[in-house]
Amino acid sequence: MDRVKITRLLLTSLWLLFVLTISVAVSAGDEEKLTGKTANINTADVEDLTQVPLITRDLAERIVEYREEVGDFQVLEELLQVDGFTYKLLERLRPFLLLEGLGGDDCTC
Amino acid sequence: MSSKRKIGKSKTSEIDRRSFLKIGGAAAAGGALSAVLGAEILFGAPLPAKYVDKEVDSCCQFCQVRCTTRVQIKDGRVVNVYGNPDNFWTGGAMCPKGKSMVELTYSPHRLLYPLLRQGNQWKRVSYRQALDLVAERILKVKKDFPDNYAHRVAMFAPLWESWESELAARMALHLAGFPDICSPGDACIGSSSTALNLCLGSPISPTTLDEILNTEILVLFGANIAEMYPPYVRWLSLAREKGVKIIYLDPRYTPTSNFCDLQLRPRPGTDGALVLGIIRFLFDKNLINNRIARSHINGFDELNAATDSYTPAKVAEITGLSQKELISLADRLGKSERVIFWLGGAISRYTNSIQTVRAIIALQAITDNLSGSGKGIMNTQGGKPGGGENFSEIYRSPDLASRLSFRKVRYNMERGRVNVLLLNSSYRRYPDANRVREAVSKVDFVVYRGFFMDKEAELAHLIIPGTMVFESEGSQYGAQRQVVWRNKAIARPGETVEDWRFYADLGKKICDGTFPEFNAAEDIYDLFRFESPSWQGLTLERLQNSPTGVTWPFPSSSQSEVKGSLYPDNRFWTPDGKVELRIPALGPIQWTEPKGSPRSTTREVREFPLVFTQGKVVHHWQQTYTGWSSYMAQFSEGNYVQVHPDTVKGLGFKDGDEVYLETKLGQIKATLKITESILPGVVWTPSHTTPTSPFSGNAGDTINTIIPNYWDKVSAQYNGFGCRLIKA
Ligand code: SF4
Repeated sequence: MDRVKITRLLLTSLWLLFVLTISVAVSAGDEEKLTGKTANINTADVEDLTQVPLITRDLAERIVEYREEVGDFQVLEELLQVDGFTYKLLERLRPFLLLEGLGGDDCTC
Repeated sequence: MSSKRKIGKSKTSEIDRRSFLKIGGAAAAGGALSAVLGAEILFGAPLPAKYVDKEVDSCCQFCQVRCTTRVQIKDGRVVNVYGNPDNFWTGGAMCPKGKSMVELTYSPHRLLYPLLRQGNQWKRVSYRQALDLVAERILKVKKDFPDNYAHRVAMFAPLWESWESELAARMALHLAGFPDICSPGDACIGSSSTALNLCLGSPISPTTLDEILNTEILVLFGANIAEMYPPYVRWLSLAREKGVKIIYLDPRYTPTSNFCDLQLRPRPGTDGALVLGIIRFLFDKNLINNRIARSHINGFDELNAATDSYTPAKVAEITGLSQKELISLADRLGKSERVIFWLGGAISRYTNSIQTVRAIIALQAITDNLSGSGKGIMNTQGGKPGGGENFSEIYRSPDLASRLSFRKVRYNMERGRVNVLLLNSSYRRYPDANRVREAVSKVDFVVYRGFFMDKEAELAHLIIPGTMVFESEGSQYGAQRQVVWRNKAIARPGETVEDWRFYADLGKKICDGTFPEFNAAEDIYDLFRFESPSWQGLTLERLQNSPTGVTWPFPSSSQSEVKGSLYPDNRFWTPDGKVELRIPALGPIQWTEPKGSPRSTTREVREFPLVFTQGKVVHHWQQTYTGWSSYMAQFSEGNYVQVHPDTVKGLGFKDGDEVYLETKLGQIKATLKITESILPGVVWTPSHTTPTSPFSGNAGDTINTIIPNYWDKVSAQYNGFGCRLIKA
């Protein structure tokens, strides 16, 4: 029998968990090398998010506001909903962003 | 099945038309309670054959009891509908909502033709013109926003008309690249179904109603069955005849109280604390078989640690129950071999609901009550079959974006980022309904698929009226995981159109040739079944020949139907087959006060000291539809509030006064009912009056306009926050 889909969001990968609190350095093509900390975008507070490279305090505040207003992020692409977040920025930040949260796709009514 | 012999036929066919009318009049005079308690017999009477040309098998499209019915037709017109007496679950019973469809079908207020807004006027257009307009608008979105159109078209679900309609709408939007179909769970039982899914691997109720005859204790956890699901009342009576003890947990005395052995009345929103207290007691008294529990539960030891502080004294203080009541309940549950919990809708409508249901699952797991006969959990409106993943994967655009939930769609609407909204369901189902209205009003093009000039129609640019239940065929699912087939009884009037047909027509226009060809609802059902392994035995023929519906899952035609436990052998549908109590996103199991509760929020204590609660009454189905029935209005009383005499003592209120029920969002006018049936400090009001109803019994302010925006991670809260009463 095929199993009903579980909507719990999964960690992007185990190694990302492992490096949760340590610094990461990433070079993407010709872009400058980024260094900073990783963060789970569904639990990180503004301070945590500002430790992620390229996330300004303003942007961090908007991410937290969005999450508190409308619920957990379901996929990283949902960050594009937040004013000031661009696709290019998302692509550069992917290695620093973790996603674990809860969504509600399970209604039986 | 042993219960079948007893369940059999009801006495409905013995009641003739005259006595039916007489009882109906008595019920109206006697008020809501007598109507509720009489419902199972009262509303099942067929007309004698001489008044009828033919009868067609059908079903009610409202709640998940999913009463199968027989529609009586004379001269091409429906003259009566009565419950199918061979239905295993209902025994031929119905409630008044299903019966009201006869009147609603022929309502003079009904919309029968597509209407296009032109300034303040409506202009009649043909269905074809209306369809073209919707398609044009959607295709324009894709053209104007080629790189980011996905979240610019959205739909408010549910589609009540049929399962095929839901499938056709999903296919049309998903194949065209639009993922945002707002799940009804956001405003319904999303919290409990999510908790069940996380812990057991499926959001569906773990067992079915017939199993209550095989249990020792049935706990109705806020489940006001007599009001919500009247045809199931006889199952409560049968269970008691078999010696089952029924314990009812509800802050109010309701019609269901009459069918129970014991009722406890915890404070609203404290159910989770009560369950954690019971779990603590069982640990402390060694009433748990640790070895067995560990073998099928992940997170057993963490549960022990998380419940450490939930002593009887603390739980008594939180819930308002005495320590003696609490200990007695825990002891009975701990010493019983078989216990079933039946969860009412209210359990899911607090901000602590996911944790509460997780605690209930944990309690059932540690007492070995989740698997097998006479054990399990039933969830109100929890029967929607699963197994459609394969179909969903096939019929979608390859790069379909991830779905946004309602709140995120609202966020986009507020910023002018939604261009087309398909309003298949009321916007008033959400809290802070005025804010939702404001958001919808910022959408460029709103299409309303309704039946009457409701509040939703005021926001629409185009109305394409739908068919009603007798005018279309299709399948629908029910609370017992059953799938039921409904035949078309009469022709569709005017230019109304079935949801499945509208979305199939639309799909052909917006999906670039990828939408399949369908000529009937049956085609959609067959395709879905073909792609869904757990539906193989649910053949159309089987559905069409069953007066009850057929139970999912049914993976092979050569097997027989299986009711009862979804997990008969203690293997759950989680990755390792165990009950999963560890949910990192929620942290440890715990109880917290509902958001905005007068007990937790200083402002609420001071300004809004009473606890707000609401619920469905038997005569209303959501914000639209039944509000337009005069038949229902005769039993309804508009907006009213129930309060205990102590709540208004010394304040100069008297029974029948006009009052304002006020929250931090605003106020609605209501009639005061002073009654001992509710706890002091708590207010209760019915959920589904509507200001557009032409009938005073159904008319009243939409209460969701004063429900503050409090949410847990998946769904909205409708109870437990602060409110107050002011003299009108
Ligand atoms: S609303 Fe529910 S109980 Fe009432 S007739 Fe319809 S299916 Fe049956």
